[in-house]
Amino acid sequence: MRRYVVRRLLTSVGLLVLSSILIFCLLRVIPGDPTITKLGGSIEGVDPRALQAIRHDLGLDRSLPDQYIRWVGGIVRGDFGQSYYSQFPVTTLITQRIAATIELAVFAIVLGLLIAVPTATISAIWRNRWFDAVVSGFTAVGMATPAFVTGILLIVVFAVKLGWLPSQGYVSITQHPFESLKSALLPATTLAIAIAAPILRVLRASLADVASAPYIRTAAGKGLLRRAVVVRHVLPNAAIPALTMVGVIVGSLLGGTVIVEYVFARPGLGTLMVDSVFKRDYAVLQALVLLAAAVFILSSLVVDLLYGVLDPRLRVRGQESS
Amino acid sequence: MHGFKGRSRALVLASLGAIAMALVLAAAGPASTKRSAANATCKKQYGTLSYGIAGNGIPALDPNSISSAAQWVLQPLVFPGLVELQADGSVAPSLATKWKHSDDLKTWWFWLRHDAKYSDGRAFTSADAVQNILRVLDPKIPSQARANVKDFRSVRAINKYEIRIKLGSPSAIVPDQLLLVRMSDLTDPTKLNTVGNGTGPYKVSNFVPDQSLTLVPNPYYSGPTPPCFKRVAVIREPDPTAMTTDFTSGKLGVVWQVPIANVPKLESDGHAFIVAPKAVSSVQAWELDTKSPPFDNPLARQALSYAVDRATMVKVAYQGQARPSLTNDLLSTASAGYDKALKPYTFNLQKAKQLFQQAGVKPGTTFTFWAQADKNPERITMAEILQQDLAKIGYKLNIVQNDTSTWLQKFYPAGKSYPGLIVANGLSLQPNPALGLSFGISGKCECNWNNKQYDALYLKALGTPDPVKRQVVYNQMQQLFSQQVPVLTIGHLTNVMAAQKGIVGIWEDPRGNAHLENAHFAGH
Amino acid sequence: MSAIAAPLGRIVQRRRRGTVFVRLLRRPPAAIAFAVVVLLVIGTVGAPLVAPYPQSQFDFTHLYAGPTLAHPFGTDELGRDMLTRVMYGGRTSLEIAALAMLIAMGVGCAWGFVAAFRRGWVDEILMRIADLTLGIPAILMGLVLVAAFGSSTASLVLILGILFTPATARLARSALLSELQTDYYLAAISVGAPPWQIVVRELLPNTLPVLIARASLVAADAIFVEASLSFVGLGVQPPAASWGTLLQHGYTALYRSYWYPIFPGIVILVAVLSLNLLGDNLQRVLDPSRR
Repeated sequence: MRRYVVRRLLTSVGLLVLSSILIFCLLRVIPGDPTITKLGGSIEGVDPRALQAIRHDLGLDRSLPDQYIRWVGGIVRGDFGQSYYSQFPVTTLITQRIAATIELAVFAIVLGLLIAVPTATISAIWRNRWFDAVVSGFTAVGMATPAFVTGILLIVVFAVKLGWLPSQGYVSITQHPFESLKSALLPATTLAIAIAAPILRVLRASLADVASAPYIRTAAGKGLLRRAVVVRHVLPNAAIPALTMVGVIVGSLLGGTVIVEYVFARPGLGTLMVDSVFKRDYAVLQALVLLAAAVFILSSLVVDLLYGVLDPRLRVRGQESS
Repeated sequence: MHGFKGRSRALVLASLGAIAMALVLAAAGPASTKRSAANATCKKQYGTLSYGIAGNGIPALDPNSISSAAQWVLQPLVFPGLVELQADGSVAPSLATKWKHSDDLKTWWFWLRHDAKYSDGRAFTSADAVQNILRVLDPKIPSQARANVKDFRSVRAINKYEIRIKLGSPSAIVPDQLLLVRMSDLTDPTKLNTVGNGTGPYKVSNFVPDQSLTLVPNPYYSGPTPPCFKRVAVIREPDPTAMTTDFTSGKLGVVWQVPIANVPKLESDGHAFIVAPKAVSSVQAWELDTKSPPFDNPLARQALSYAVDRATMVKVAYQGQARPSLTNDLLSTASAGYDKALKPYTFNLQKAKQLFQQAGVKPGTTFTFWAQADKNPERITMAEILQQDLAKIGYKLNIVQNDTSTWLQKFYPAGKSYPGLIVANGLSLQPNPALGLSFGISGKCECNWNNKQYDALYLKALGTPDPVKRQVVYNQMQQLFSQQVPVLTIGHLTNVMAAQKGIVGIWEDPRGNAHLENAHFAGH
Repeated sequence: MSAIAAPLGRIVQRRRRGTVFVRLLRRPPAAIAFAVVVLLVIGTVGAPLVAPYPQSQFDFTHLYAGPTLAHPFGTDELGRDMLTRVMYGGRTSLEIAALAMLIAMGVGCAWGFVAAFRRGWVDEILMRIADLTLGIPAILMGLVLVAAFGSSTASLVLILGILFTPATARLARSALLSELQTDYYLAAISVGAPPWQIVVRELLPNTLPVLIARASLVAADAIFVEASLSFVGLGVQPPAASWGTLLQHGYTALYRSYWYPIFPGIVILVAVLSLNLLGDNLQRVLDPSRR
């Protein structure tokens, strides 16, 4: 098992390096040039020497491998570079915004799981046609409704009509914990609905799958209580595909928060990311992609390891193949 | 996957929300468009002014090397220059109190205020003025102000409050040429973009790039427009519709660049005032590469000019918020320098077809309308009209929208080759006719026109002190430009601003930029 | 061989299309969803025949008009009939979604099945490649890919297909993997049946329910992503329109004419909802354990 973990960790680091190379090259291959974008908005008749000077200052006149090595070298020293536009260090730009994103993401995942897991379990135990219909209605609508619609609906009802919760903005959690959670409640709920629906769907499908498996039928046939069978035997086995889903969702949350941050005007990393793509602000984008990839790789690593815990057969195979 | 459901926000419910909010908060009325007369002092500093901008935020603070139009609002608020733009398009004293020039118009002297201070308390002197002008002149520093002052040969401090500028060739409009040179603290150039130390009525207190910028009164300010708000918050909204919604719900006090489609309703709801400067100087311009086929042939450019139904386009796309540029002129019909004798390009598809054929542009040729995505839906509306019109005479127009970076790289800076492209752009020209017309001089226009005759006329205009004689030169420049069509000008327009009832003293200059330096809450 | 005889029989029975279809339509939500999809297909694919106006007929005297008898969905910024626009727009949207779904399912399933069946280093490499692309946020990938390929209909199909492939591959892998653990597979192996034959004939069909759920998800998501790219102006280019670009235009004019975005918005919701319902019900009908 330990060998497996070590190997998996090593692959993770390799993956991180690969995705950094991938995005590094991808950004420089697509059309657009940050120096031109920086000036093009307002400066006419710019001197080519000025463009050259900026390119030189930013190191963009060097070869790709050279640029990459310098970038990695900087990271090793803890220097992620600076924005080509604001000239703030990338780390400053990220720290200005990361708390808002983390708060939103954690809050949303907790809410999403609190919706999905009990609902799926109850529907498997209870097996009520009407409850099932309501649940599939929820997943269908939850998945068919873009987060921006959910978000705007929540704003209209809770912020505008009832005036219970703030619709916009962000309050620092370290300064005003309660106010902060209050301002995060609507965006987190919006995201939670988007998260819960697919988990619920996958979980229900695999619950149904597992429940019909022979060994479960045997367990049920032995006279065990349905509730006990579901909770002890069906749920752990059915959790595996759902866990993949959770892993994918956690890993892609940075992308997932973008919309919600937009709807609720929260100053987070998602917004920073979209801006940097449009401006080709390479340094900022590279750091963000690295961060997103690290979160993703880490979460899929955790999922893989949990697989082993939940499904002993896989653990055995994992060892065999290593 | 959820990531994507994003950027987009609207829909059914949004509209319901917007209507509900509009109904609940339809209290606001038109605010004064006039510059409140004396405005010498306000009773006391009061309240927060929330100023909303959409799409692009403020990315950086260096006032002499700006990268977003959203930065212009900061110029009078934080970074005054030697002169300041007035509502009528003229310039007035600011950090410079008076000026004079030699008889040959080649030497100019400017006298500075004695009490001007940066927001950190340091006195602003002639050394700072010289340093800022010289920085703008440095070819390695990209600056929007450089093109206008390129001809300055020497800039020197005579004493603590006087500077002298020597020019290579005579100019009668040096104060106008200095408008875009802003005065900021150059003590530490590495902090120019992040700290923002100027001599204006407000100073920067908190800056999150592209997100928010908070201004507070500059305690050392002693100029003509003392700060009246305790805070000015510049808030970037994700898109214009969100901005409109936040404005109608009362979250924002003033908004800039309101979507044209929303204007009639904002007006009828009593929210908005529409700013109409005396001389509009910003223009919707479609740039052509005059150095590569087919638009290297003036006949082909004229053909396109006849095929563009400016009157209809402006009426449909801008809903009356712009004037069509029927004579293909950089100056608007309201400009002091406008040549009334110009011949209009009356929409005529048959003439367009005939001219295209004379130029050897065969029917079936495809042009590309090259536009920015997610900005100015009006441009796409106009392009669709042109698309149908061109189809009637057998030419094809591909409309292609791209993100700003991709869009810019194709044609910017001047000197790039982009055959067959019609680049949709907006120009925020200076209201001074000579400087407005200077967009056509060599090396400045991305159209690569480089017309020697036009360049010579520009220099002649600068060196002609007599207004009547200067107008003659302006007319010659406009005739040449109109006849040669290096750029298609479609219409002259301003950015629409809206303000809540009770906020007064807001105005917009001819270039379409917001001026909040005189603003205050009514009664405070 | 007898170990697989029973499931085989089950599959043969399941393969009879008529039965599946009839069983599907016996479920009221599925029947409604099916009717809606048929209606949408007729209305969009058949737009040239059934649309009330020519595709792009301007009417500058009726800009941003509200719903009337002549224009039940109102008109747009150029006075075009919105009902007509929504019909033609649906052609583009459905075409893009369907093709992108085919690419994602085809490539993704092949990718995942090979990984699951071969295991070992093949699995490792294939899944790490999937991780690699999954690790980069989808919205960022989308924007970068549009910058690279442009936003013609063909490149949008390709981009959406690429975006949805890795996640599909992971799902296909785990679906086949759990089949490979089943008793009858192990039993079949133990009696000496060739593994690939069992996989192709037995296990792959058993993964269908999960994959069909995934396919309906991909189609629904493709409609959304296309709409989202449209929202930043990176959707299909005029004069072509999709539901996404119509929604975006409507959003821009929201304050002026709230009805403009409503109709494309409703159509997107209805289409996605119906697709999801159909997928859901199809999964249940096909899934032997749910019969």
